[in-house]
Amino acid sequence: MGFAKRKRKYKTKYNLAGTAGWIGNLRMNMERYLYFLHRITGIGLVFYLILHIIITSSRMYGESAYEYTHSLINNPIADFGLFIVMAGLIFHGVNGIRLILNEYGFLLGKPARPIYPYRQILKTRTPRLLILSMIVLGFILLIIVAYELLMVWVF
Amino acid sequence: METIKNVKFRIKRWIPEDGRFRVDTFEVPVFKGMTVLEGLIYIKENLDPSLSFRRSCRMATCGICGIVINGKPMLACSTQILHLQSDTITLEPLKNLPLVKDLVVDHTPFFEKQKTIKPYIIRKNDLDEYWNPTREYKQTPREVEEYLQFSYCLTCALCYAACPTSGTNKDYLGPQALMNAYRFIADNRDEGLLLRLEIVDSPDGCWGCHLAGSCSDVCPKGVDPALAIQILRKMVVEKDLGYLEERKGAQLVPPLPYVEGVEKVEAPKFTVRGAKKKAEEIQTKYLS
Repeated sequence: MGFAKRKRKYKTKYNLAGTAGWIGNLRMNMERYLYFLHRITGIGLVFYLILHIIITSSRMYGESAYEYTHSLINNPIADFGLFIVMAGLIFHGVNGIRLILNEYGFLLGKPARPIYPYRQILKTRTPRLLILSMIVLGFILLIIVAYELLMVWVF
Repeated sequence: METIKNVKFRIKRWIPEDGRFRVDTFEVPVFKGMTVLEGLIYIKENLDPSLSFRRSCRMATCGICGIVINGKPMLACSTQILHLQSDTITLEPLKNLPLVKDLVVDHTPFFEKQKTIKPYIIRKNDLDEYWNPTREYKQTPREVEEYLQFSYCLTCALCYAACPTSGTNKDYLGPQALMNAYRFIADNRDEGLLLRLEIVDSPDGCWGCHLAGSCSDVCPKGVDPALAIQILRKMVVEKDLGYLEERKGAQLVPPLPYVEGVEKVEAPKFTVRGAKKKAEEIQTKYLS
């Protein structure tokens, strides 16, 4: 009788890392950062798509309404925002190519006998070379985009 | 042992009575070669006997002392304090698992998920041999290497704690369970390929992985679950395209030739009470 009264309730919690766990911590591997950026740019692109639909849908209210909304975004600051969006799009696309290749088992190699120090397949040469080539491809695309956007305001 | 320096242990403890975390700080004298687990034992023996943590083998074989050290899931027994190169060490219980007390977590969901992928050899034809084994199956060293890496798993749940998908999706099987599914698929004695691919072919299975690679990064035994999951995915696509067919399991080795003067060694008897009876029950159930 007395025991039942004295019995305390013990609380437990499913300690999920949640969305904050996307980034992990500062000592995580390179792919974890790419994963985090891929998620963030993906969400950013969805927001951009919504904004894009709102702006272009102003055409429904006549030509003057469409021209008015375009005059609002026809300035260098908006174009810088567009550059950021394009950078996110390029990262998302280029990293997406890498993920499609690696996630279907290409360019990864085969399991091997574990001998200390242990080998991690993502830290071997081929996946790292893939990341490097994607960085180069991304920068080339980014320079093209920057040049196209600068052409409007500088030249 | 000669003390080199004092290191502060900041321990994020789960207090089950209050239902919240509490951070306690302890100062531990550190000698050369001292592990985090030894530091915890020092705290329990000298500073705070109420501190709870799990440990058993203290040599990275049992995999129960997994905790988050400075934000990264690690085994406390195989991490040396001086190698961390910091005067303050932050310790937390493993993420993505239910908390019990202080640094102790409940591994039940983790093991339940491992069970769902049927972590045992499945045979479909020679069930009589399966339940009453007389000889071993043929396996070349190359065939062993296909799954050997993945059979080194300790089930320490470090990969599960590091996985970002496990952090947001409670039903996600997790790197360990998916890796284990591949371990049995890659085994040439196994005949459950299509059965296991059906289990892992879901958003909570192998398609939940986004190749963050943290599972392989934290693994203390070099098991590389990230590689296993990507191969599993490739297999699922191959199965859907019709390239993959059920493989016939390995055959038995031929019986040894009779040598005169050498007596045949008897197979070991069932050591668990009632095991033979249960095996026979299951056998009759399967054969009928």
